[in-house]
Amino acid sequence: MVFSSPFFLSLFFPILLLLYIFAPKSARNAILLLASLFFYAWGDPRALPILICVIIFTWYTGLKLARPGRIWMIIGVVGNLAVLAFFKYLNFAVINLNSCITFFNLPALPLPDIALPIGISFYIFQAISYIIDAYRKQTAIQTSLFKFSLYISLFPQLVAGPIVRYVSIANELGSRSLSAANLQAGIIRFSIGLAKKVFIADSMGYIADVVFSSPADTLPCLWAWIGAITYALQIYYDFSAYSDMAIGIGKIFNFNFPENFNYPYAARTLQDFWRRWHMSLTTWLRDYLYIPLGGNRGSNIHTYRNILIILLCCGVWHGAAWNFFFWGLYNGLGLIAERMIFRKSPQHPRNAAAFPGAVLHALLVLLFILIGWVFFRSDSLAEALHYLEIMFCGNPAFPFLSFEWAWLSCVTYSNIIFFIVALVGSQPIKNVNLEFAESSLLAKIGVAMLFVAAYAFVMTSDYSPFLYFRF
Amino acid sequence: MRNTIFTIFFFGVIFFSWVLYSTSAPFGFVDKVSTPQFGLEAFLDCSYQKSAEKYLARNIPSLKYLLYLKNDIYDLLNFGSFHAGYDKTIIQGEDGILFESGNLTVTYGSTPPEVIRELSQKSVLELKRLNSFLAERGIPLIVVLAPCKVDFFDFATPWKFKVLNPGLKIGSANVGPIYEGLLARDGIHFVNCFPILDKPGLREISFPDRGTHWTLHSSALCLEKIASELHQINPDKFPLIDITGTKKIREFTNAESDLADLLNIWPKYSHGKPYAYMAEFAPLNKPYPLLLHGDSFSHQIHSNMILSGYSTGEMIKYFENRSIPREEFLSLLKEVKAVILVGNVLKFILPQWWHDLAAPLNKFLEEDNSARAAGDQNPSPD
Repeated sequence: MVFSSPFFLSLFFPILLLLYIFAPKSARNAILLLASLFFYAWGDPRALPILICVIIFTWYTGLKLARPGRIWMIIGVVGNLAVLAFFKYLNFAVINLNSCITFFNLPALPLPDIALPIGISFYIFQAISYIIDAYRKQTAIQTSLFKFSLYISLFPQLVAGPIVRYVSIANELGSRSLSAANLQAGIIRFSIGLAKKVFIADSMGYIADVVFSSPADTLPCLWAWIGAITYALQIYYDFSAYSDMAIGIGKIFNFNFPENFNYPYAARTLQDFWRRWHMSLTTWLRDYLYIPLGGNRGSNIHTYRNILIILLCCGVWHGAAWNFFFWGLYNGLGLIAERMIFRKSPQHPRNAAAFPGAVLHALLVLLFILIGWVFFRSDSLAEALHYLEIMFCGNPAFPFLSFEWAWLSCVTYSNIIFFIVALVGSQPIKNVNLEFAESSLLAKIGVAMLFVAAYAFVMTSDYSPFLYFRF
Repeated sequence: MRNTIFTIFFFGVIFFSWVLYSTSAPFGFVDKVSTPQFGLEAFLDCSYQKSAEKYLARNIPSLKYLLYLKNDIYDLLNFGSFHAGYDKTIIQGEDGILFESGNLTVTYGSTPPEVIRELSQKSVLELKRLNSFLAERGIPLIVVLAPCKVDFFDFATPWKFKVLNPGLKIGSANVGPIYEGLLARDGIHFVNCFPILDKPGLREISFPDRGTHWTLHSSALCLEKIASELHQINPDKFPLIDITGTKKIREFTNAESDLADLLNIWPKYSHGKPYAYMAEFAPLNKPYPLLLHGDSFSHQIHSNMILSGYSTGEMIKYFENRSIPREEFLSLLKEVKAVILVGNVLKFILPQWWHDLAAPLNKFLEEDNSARAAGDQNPSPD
């Protein structure tokens, strides 16, 4: 079930909300837990036992962390990573192993063909964060299986984040009160996310899909650029919209989830970008991988190695495929290069006054990120390289300004308007923020209108009449 | 109150979407969604969830209003403000004239003449095979090349097509002569409708402003020519049609106004002339059985055949936008006196239309040809 589906929007969510509001305080957690398990089972019922096993295993190892020693911490972390490796990476490993051993004329291994459970990367990382935090005594051990189950399975963040650490909602799991202000703020945040998804992300996605699904040989240079830019906007708005909706729903139930995006395309440096993009994942990788590896406290070589490791992990976390690996490698090398160039320079681009070329540097960072998204979006490395070749060297078969109909169909005024809105909205604008949306009556009216329009779009998304309806 | 007004509004919108019931369904055919049947297996493989979600989306009481709201937003963004671009299938040009995007796609695509010729040759080769097969059975074939709306309403084409693809237009005026030259070379009877309708006074009324298909009037003029072509082949078997007048109609047939309805916008789309013309015929009572096969342009030919008394609904074996199964085709050939194949001229050169529609028949004819060729090379002892 996704938040922008008719079932969620018109049935599941309002019914749950009414039940929650009118239920006695003591029953609210139970309602949320049951709703969360139903939410997960609705989308992937066969994966529900895996989720439950992960919850019980992590909770149990958590209890054992009260004993001295690190063995239960290792068991907890390795156990969770093993589950992730089995379900997410085994197919990929066997396919690649087979291509190696068949090279030596050895018989190929049978493909395990394991289905990827929805949201496994998110809830496994949450489980690991709990184990490590509990081991480090940064949080109290949760003795209640019921409350721990609610933490892992809480539906707003279960399938697509943000990755919520136990410590950040430990108190709220125990006691929350219903607040009219939070309820309203949450609904406003949810509505903004829904509108972002329906109008901007989907419009940009339509253009990106047309471009990326076309054979590269038929792709004119201009459209390759448009495809890459619209995909960059789609992935940002799609993911940040989901995070907005998740944070909004969390707020409705009085949970405070961490922010996941902070205008990443306004970053001045690559390092800055990674501080603003998918913040719950990058801080997770920083705290549980980068710092334990030594962070930037050792020699330069060690720092570069650590940067590369976390970016490679970040890449393969997104998917078991080589293009994600190269995307991670590409970003890791980019971060290292940036660090090497500016390590001893007083003219760091973070400081606009000290560095007159800061704007140019920011544009170069955007270009670097844009190229990275081509690796991310393409089905294979070869496809990505071919796409980049067209972007930078052109397509000899087509003029730069080619307007075949397939491309022309993307040029509707609504798409142009949403494209402009997407570009403008990707940069921070003074005084236009969430506080403004929650406090100003005019902004509230605007959000209300957006919600009605987005609701109409979602509810009718399935209605696509055939032109020749008479037949 | 300040902290609850948005919450009340949120619930209100969802509540009204469940209670605002519209008695009439939105325009446009969509495939039926059956009531979801719960079962453990169906739930585990998610098929129940998918069908339940689809069922809900199709049956929410306020679907029509929500659809109108959505389309009105698009109308505001794409139609109302800029007069170009709507949905993926319908496009509005100047003066509220509607086009089907597929026709504009082909017309303003950049298909070079050599490609048109190559595609035409391929398609004519298939027609030649069909023509020979029918000729052996004494059944004449008439290929009818219907024009596109954009052939006559080029002035109303949305500007972006003209600006972005200058000089690339293809249509009846340039595809027709190539195609009819090939048909004539191979001795296939045809009626190219574009020159018949490309006359002052006829162009303007050849297509309704709010529809994508030709009017009953212009298709009647072409039917008159079809009848005359068949009459020349065999005057005893095939009668002539006599058009005696023209009358203005305000009641559109579905085929003539479907685009406007399909917009599903509120208030109802009302640009463009809300009337069209149809022909009046001299009484004719010599119906004969025939096979009519083609795209949606054949619909008006079919109606005129019945209106004129040229044939009857029972006698016309009609296949519109669907292929004829091989066995049925062979059995129909025992009954019918002529085969009429109607299609938009551009569609004859579009592999996805003509070749798909005629694929089963072509496969059969190809096999028939090969079998015959093999028979000629290896004559049987007797």
